[in-house]
Amino acid sequence: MNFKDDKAIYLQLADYFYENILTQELKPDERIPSVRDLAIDTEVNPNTVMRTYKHLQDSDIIYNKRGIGYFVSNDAYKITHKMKKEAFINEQLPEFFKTIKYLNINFSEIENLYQNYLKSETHENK
Amino acid sequence: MVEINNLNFGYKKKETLFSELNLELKEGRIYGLLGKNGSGKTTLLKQIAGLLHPQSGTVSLNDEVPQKRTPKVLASYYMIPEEFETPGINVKTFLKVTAPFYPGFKTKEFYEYLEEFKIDTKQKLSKMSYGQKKKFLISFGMAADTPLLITDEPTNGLDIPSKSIFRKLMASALSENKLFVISTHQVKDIEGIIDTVVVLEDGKIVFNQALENISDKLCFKTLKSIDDENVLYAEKGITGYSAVVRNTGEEASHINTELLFNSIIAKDSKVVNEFN
Amino acid sequence: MENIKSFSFKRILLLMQKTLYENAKSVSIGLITVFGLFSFILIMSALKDAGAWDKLQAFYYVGLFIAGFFISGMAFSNFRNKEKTMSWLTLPASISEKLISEWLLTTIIYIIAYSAIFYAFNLIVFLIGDVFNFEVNFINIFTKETLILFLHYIIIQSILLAGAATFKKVPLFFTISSLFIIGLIISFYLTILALGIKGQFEVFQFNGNGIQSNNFNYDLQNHWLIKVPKIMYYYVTAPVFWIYTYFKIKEKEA
Repeated sequence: MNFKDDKAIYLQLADYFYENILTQELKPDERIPSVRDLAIDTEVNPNTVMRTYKHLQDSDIIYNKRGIGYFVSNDAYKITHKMKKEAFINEQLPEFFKTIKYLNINFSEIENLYQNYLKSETHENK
Repeated sequence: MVEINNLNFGYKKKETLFSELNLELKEGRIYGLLGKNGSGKTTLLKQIAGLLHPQSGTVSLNDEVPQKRTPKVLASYYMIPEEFETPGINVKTFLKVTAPFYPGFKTKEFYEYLEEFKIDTKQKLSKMSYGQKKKFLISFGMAADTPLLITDEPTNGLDIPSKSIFRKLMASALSENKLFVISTHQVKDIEGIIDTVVVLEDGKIVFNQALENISDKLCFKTLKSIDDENVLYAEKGITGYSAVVRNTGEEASHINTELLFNSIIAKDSKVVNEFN
Repeated sequence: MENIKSFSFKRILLLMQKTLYENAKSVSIGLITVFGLFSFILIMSALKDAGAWDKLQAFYYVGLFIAGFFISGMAFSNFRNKEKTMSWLTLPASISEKLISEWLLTTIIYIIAYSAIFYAFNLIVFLIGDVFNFEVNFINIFTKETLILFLHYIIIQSILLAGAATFKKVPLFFTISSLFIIGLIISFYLTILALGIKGQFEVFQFNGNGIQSNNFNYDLQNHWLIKVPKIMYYYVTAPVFWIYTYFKIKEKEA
């Protein structure tokens, strides 16, 4: 795993789970890697991975079965979706609006581009 | 697990390398020991390993004095030094004559580690290249399964894939009752794998903080201007200043270990003050 | 892990095993050199005098000391190198175990190994004699004289062991030199002693029990001037040097 310099590693590891939950690659009650396994895979300190898991557990995205491991919670998708949407609306969208404003791009143009993007994505997935 | 109290030491009587040095290292952690060249990192490791006698002060390892070199204290750690000499025997023979001294030695894992590193077990140790010897020693030291593993510049001489294997081994071997110390000046090699930063400067431990504490208190960012009282340290770059800023409740930022180290050893470091 | 005894015979065996494996090459080179030298000298002197074959016992004695001193000079071989010193000092065994293992290797084990090889050598010489029709005797090491000689070896060797633990480079040279100086002091002492008794200077010889010259024989066996140094030699020398060596290892830094 390649880490970026923009945020703490434990949050980047959390992002990895958010993404997989939103794409539904991780489904409710599915087991996620153990702390040790993820630490080995990502070459990250197990204490850091533990912090990621604690973070995810605190937001009810995963839950812990004692002695067995960590699992994706039933509401994981809902919670992640809400959290990420809020983050998008509060952080990325203002930036986006700022840019389309000074580049003078109107919404219909954006919509066309978005439809094209969706088409190419479904095309790619075939 | 490791406790050093008021340690004074110098190689010659009038020379002081450490003055009233204090250090506490706890199990369940991987410590990155950082310091400039000549700051005495290796000497400190040797004090912990009982290879040098303090002029005054105490070193203790699980409540035992490593300088006494009892079998019990010696079996509680393994040291991988930066420079080493290996005997003219092959891996198997070395294992046969050395592993029995470590009661918890894991033979199966030892061979697995060697396989990961692609070390030929039939080769004589004395004929190995520096890098191969290092990989062999890392494998042996990890397999010895001692509560404390001391490594001095472990990634020195390792190629890129081997550095990655080293980090994986460290990640897999850490447990609640284990303590790893990695002394290095190649911070990048161990950035993700350590969880606590210890800095040795001017004969003292000036910094000993878990990454969690560091990201709670500090932010690492690039700034256009450093005209802010929250800026604790900054270095000028092409795109602006790389700065260490007081964390005022933002999300945890990525810890730039190099920048952190520079900010700690800076004169009258504000960063060090933040933690006092 | 919790139950690591501070002293164990098993660890002494392990230490000896490790030393032997790691130094197998230099030990065998040493022994081959000694016995090669023996054969050479034997053959050279046999060419001159067929009776040389009877001197095997003397060869055994001289070789025991010479080879033994070389072997002892190799004790604590890890101390010749800083990195090896580090790994040896941190090897989980106690200081006394480490000392005893080096001592056993350079005394008891060495004497047994040397004698066994010498007997094998003796046998080869015997078989050759059988072919070429000359008589070769077998040495006998199970005599009182030989046992006393072993004792002398062990006493003198304690000094070499101390030297090997002290000097970083070529300990054999330093210890042989110091032995030479000790020898000089002893002969000086005896000369003064004889001078005091006889009242005049003469070439004396110390025969173990007293002072001897061509003209007279003083039995000084019970004289304190001889008795005290003798007791010192037999009972004090070796323990003192062993204790010294122990502290040398204990204080060693790397």
